[in-house]
Amino acid sequence: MKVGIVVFPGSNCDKDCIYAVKTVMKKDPVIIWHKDIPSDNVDFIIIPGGFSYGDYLRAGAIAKFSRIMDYIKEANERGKLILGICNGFQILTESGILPGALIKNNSTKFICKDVYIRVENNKTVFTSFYKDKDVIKIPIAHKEGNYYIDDNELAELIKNNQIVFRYSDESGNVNDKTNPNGSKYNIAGIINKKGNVLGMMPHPERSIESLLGSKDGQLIFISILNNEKINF
Amino acid sequence: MKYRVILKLKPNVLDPEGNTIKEAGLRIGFNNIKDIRVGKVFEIEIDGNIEDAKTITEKLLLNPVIETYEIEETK
Repeated sequence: MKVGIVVFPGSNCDKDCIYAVKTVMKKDPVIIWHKDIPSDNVDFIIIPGGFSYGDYLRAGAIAKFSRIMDYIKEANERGKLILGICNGFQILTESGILPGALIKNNSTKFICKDVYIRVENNKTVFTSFYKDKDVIKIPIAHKEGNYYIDDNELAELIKNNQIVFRYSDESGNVNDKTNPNGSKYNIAGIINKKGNVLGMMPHPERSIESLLGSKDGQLIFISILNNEKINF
Repeated sequence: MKYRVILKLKPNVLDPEGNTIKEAGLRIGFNNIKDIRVGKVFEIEIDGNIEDAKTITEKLLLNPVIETYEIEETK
């Protein structure tokens, strides 16, 4: 499995993703500058967090016009695996690869803390090593992480089992009190219908070893590694 | 030609920023404030007509999931 990590001007979690891919997946990732098209055939693309183009216009709104997005759209059509984390998730919604939008947190503040999320769907290539309804401790760090989608489309997401993670407490209770940013239906991460693109606001690459406070994010990278044979 | 584009959040999308400003207004005594919603204004100058300006707005500026827009010609 060839792993590629996309870097935009303003990306700042790319190094963490490289570290996670090296230590958990034992792979040497290709670093893809947004203006370049990778010569290698990449099987798994990570769009890391950060503030691409300074979040000008809206978070992810400028990055969606960059050259690498044509490559990512094509990779999506070919069923390659794509993981958008934080700003990467915002870029995927802005470009229409994933439904919905990420708007300002209800508190209007930047939130940087550990939260708990509950695995709602462990039948995806990204989450198959989790148990159903596992609760994961994982950090968030964002100001625009408030997931919005209209009610009809939310019903579609629920019906298609596209909601992968929801904000919860340590015991797995999901309610308004366990919602850090105002996200509709406590949504922390969703997958596309086909099942090859996951977007999430929390940072699995920052929760891969106990020294960092949690290693609960490891299983995302391990799941991906073990599902490379699945065709979309 | 010059155009002014106003991007607004759709009515059903919550506006935490507008709400915070409203609360501050109420706190300092503007008890007549019912609602404040925050948008963005773009002043664009192009070689083209209003239809071109609309195309630019829809392709470049707007996120149709959460926003709507108004456009007018300016001097």
